[in-house]
Amino acid sequence: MGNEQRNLRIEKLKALSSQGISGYPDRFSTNYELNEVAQLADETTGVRVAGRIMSVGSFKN
Amino acid sequence: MFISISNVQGSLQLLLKLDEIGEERYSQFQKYFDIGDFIGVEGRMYSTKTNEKTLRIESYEFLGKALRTLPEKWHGLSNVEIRYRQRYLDLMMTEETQKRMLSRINMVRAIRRFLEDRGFLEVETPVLQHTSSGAIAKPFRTYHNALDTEMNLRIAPETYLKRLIVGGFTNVYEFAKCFRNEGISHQHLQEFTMVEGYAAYWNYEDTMKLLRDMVLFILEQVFHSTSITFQGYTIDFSQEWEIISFRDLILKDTGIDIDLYPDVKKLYGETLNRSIELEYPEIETLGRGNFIDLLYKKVSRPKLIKPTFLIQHPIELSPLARANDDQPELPDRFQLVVNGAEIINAYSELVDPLEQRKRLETQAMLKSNGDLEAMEMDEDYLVAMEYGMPPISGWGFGIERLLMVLTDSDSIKDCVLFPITKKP
Repeated sequence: MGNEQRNLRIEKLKALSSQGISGYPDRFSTNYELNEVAQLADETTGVRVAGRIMSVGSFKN
Repeated sequence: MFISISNVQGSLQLLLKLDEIGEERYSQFQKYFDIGDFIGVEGRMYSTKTNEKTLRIESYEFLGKALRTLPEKWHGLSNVEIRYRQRYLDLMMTEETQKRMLSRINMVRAIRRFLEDRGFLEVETPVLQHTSSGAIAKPFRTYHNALDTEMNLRIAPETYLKRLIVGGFTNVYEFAKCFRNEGISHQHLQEFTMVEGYAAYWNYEDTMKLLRDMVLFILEQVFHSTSITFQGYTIDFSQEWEIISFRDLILKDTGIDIDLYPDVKKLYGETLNRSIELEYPEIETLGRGNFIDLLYKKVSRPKLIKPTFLIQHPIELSPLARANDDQPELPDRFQLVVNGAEIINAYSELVDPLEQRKRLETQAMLKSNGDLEAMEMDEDYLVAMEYGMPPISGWGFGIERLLMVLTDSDSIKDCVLFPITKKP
């Protein structure tokens, strides 16, 4: 199972790169720390953050 | 769809909506992103109906592909070796690990701030040493090729920090990685971080005050409270801390007055008379000091939950501590015991080079008789002492042990980022 999943992800990496998107880009600039964002008021715009995807869920509300 | 992203300090919910981001970008996310990948986003904030702060994604960038899937049953992972070996996974998956490691970082920061504010200077002293001194422990040996000589990894920074006092420093401290080649247990790391500090012109009572203030400062800075809960008991550290001697403590817990037994064989006999189980292999080989230490660890230490200053140790266990002026068979030393563990060790330093030579001769004799933990004769340090030392008091504690006790952790390995694991 491990290897199959790994091959699949390598395929995705190749597909991305064929579209000119690097799987390991050089940099990304953020303007907030992840743990600060929850203190921001609604409608604050231009918030740039980054992190590791831990879960993806369908629409709840 | 909702996406949750995280790092060691926190997490955030993101919203990716088809009608906001467009068909192409939406399906690109679905096709190429997996759980475990890194993403960078820009957008604006809103709160969901369940009042969760969420960032609506206006644009995103791919930031790093994970080829391996994150483990699903990490929390129930019974093989703790894997948890330690792949600590990066534990850090990603376990909030408790994140919190404890961040507490450690905050603790180190608080200690530095506390000492800096009181004029202590941070120094670095050697890890590679010719002689092994400063503590009673077995060293790791290594080899210096260019000098063609065996060397030891330090077991403590003590004698080098005291050389600095000879050199004119008055208040110094070090965060010192130390190495002790001893058995693995839930209480012992073979590689750990010791914080030691020395103050010229002080005695151990000055150090007691300093360290009480330091512990309270750490609690406030790291845990925002001076009360800590251990095994169901809540202990308020801001109350007065009891001071008790080895003799009084053992007398209270066993009825034996160790002062009446200057001979270890008779003391051992008395513990047998009272059916005290000590469960120690080759117990007859222990000297009096080590025997009293064993007795204390078995019968008294587990009961010391509230912060307690334990004083008047057997002097054989304190070869670098000053003997009390009125009772020369007792050192001016204390340990802070909390939740059944010693977390700080401190004393008035032995600064008399002639007395120090005698004590190290005794240690060297123990060593040649097979006690691998005894200290070696350290001529280089004795020479430094002979140039003259002022009164000094010093203290030391392991960061991991302190963290273990204050966070009531089961294993000291949980208090270091990458503990030693068996060879895979």
